[in-house]
Amino acid sequence: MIKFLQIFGQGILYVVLSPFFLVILAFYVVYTALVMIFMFLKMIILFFAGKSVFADLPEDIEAEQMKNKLRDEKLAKENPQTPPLPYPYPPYGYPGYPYPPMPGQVINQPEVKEIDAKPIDVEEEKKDEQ
Amino acid sequence: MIPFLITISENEKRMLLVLLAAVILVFVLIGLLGLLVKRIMSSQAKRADTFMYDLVYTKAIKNPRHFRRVGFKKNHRLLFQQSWIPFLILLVAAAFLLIYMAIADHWNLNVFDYYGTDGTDGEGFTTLFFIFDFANAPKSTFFGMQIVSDWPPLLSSPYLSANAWPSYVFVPIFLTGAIWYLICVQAFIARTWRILVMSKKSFEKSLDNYDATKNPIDNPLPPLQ
Repeated sequence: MIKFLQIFGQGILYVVLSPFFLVILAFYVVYTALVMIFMFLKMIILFFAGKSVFADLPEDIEAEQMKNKLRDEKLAKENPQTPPLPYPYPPYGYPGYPYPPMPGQVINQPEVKEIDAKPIDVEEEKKDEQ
Repeated sequence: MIPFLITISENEKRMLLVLLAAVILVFVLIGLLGLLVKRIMSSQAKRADTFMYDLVYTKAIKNPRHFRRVGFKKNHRLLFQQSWIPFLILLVAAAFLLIYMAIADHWNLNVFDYYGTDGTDGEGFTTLFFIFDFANAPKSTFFGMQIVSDWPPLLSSPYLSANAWPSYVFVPIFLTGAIWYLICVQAFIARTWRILVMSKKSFEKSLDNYDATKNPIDNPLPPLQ
């Protein structure tokens, strides 16, 4: 019931204020018509100048740069990179400096031991060949 | 006789109740229509938030005046993007009518004429509708007021007129463009109001929940949002 009375009261208010609403609407119709004509002429002039009337504003460019910067900072925080080896150290793959293991990778290489080799006897080898 | 004692018949009582119900219904319908327009304008105004959000969030907009300047520029661009088609339709309709008037040399064409010379050769769009004579509707006196008591007389019934073909082409096209354009203007007004309101609200800072005892001088300031 209260809602019904509210709507009834608003109806009376809108009837009383309708001339003002119509005047405001008429003003905006005229204003927007002038804006359309002005924008159309501006579009033609900018077209021949090689530009667009809908080009990004300086604020749009600044906002886009800021968004990219924030996105890069967030990605860098989530994926921290290990710093590269300093100059005196050899690159990865060099014997003694293996590649770092991938996440979850288990390296199971046997230890390579040095063997004491026998000296080569040339005369015995010739006898074997004969 | 005491002048403020009124005797009314059953018929007059019924008429009074019907009139009261009709008046209440009219105002309630207007109130509901106003509510609908307000809801539509609220949803149209949200578009202003969409094109201003990134600029405010990334602090590319520095102050309320900057907000309004950039907001109005973007609003004008969006108005042009949305309403160039209905504007073109209006121009085409107006151009069609002017060209017809120039070719036929008939500059006093009335697009709402229904009668013509003898009631059968009207040149307006209203030849397609029932036309009632509201000015001469039968009235009856009710408590000193003249109130319409019956249907008004019929002046014209719908008929197709060969003379009215330019109106049959012009009026629907013009009405389509006009209604579409008015909706775009309504959206423009809604966004303009939203920009004016949000330019102040976005930069408001409130001390309502500020407690000076919890922020001693040696505590660092909270990060700027």
